Amino acid sequence: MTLTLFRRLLRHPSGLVGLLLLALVLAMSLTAGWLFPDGPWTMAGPPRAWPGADPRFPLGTDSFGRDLVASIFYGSRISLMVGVSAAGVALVVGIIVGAVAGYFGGWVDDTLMRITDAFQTIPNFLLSIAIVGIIGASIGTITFAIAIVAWPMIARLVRADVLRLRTYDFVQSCKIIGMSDLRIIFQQILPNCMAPIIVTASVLVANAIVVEASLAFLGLGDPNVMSWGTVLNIGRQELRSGWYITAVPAVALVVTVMSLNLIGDALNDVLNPRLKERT
Amino acid sequence: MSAVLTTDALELHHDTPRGALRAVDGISLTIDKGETLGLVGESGCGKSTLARCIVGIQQPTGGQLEIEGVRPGKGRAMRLERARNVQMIFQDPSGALNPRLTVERIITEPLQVAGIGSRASRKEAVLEIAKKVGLSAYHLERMPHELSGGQRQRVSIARALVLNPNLLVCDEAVSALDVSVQAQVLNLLLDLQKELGLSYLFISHDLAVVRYISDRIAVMYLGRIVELGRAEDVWAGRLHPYTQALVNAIPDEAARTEDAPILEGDVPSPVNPPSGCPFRTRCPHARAACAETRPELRLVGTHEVACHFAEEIGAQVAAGH
Repeated sequence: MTLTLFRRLLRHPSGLVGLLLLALVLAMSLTAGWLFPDGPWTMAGPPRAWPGADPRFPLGTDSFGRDLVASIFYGSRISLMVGVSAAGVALVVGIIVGAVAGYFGGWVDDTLMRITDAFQTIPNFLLSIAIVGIIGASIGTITFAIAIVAWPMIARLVRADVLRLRTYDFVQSCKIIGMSDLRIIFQQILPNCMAPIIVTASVLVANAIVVEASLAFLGLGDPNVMSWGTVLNIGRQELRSGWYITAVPAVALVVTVMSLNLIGDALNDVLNPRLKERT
Repeated sequence: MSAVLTTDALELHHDTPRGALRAVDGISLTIDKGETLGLVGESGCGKSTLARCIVGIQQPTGGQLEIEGVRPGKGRAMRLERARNVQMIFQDPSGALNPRLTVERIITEPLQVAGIGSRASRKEAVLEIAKKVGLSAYHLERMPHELSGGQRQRVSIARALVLNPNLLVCDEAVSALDVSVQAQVLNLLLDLQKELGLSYLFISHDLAVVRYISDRIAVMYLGRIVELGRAEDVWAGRLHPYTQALVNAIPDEAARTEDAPILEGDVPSPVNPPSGCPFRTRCPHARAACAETRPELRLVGTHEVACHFAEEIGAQVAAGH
């Protein structure tokens, strides 16, 4: 099933473009250590070399003389890692909360949904800043801070679908044969609401990448890792004289986020059985 | 004959802000082994709620329920025990099957959950029951959306019967099917009954279908039974004005009586039912006495009726013929 899904995604125009762009970013993160064995932090050349000015540095160097190509390659690792793991944590929490609330209803639903509401009333980005500010900046805490603001959206989405599906006769029939509630939720109901979850997941990853970069841009990134946000932060101080330092990671971000959004769009079409004929 | 199902003054009242909603309001009936009891009534009269109480997806708030002489409990072991005695088939054959599972998996599930047999013996049992309901090994590999409505209903029946239950609750089991397919499925149910000695609680709003398949008929109105008896007695000798109105609502029915009432208006709210006889608001024979006391089921002639003036109405019908 996953294989046919992948094939159908490749046949979808925006799916194909999205997957190609994402593959590019993925290739960057995989080859970073091999192409730039010295790491992103070494002063490889003169500071503030404009792109093209020195053939050794096609994208120029930052104010410390670090190669921007190396920074971008290494940064893609962090962006993808934080994006995928934050989205993963948000998915797991959101699916469990949403499924339990929707399936059991009553006071369970009320309690869980009030908690969800509480998270949704706080502006997401401010909450992330506050969390990172309080517990300190490391890759782990940043992932946590992004996930904790993202799960309520998933929880609401899953809950709505489970509410709809639990009234179906096949769910009632499972109750009649004595199937346990957990098995009904995870084996019978959830596989039937995967489509919107998968589509949202791709947007969630994109969003997590942007939030991570934003945090780093504000100086709240993990100081020990080179992420695209770190480069943005360095470039911010040079915005007048060397705007390219900001522009390079910004383009990388735009490409990555766009590829994920394109994949999300394509998934939406591919997973929607009624639109199957269109692709 | 031993009773497969006995209910005694079974009640299910929902608490609502405006008072108790009496979905099922004191139903007493029995179903014997190998018997079909047809249950008719308009939508909203509590037929499905009664069915859901019997199979255990809703808990009655009052009265007694006995399946094979045992009062079912809530524990997991009791739930599984109950599943082996009572199963249900539903109206909408597409909603009753998980769209992501193969037919084989759908029919195997009850055995799996009950922990019956090995993988191989389950496979055998599933093929056997599939053949009994008119499906082949080819159908077992299909997904529900690849099958027709009638075939899907056969899958539902196979899933319900794979545990060898004694009682099958059919909630509008043929109502969503084409007329030609309806007949096939009804005949299949009759064949299975003969072969396996099944009992049916056959719920439908369609009196003609119920008459065809049932040994006895119960007519339900607003959570209560208003007429109960052998199918032909209830059909031909119908005494309750509601039953008469239901028969009269069948288009082109030769058995229709000339002066029988046509039902007007809607079923009154089960939250605040009329005093006395619940049918009096729509009944052409209603008098002052009907608002005072609620008629209980009593034997009038061939069968039981809950109407104060059953004898009088019976005499009128007899005079009309």
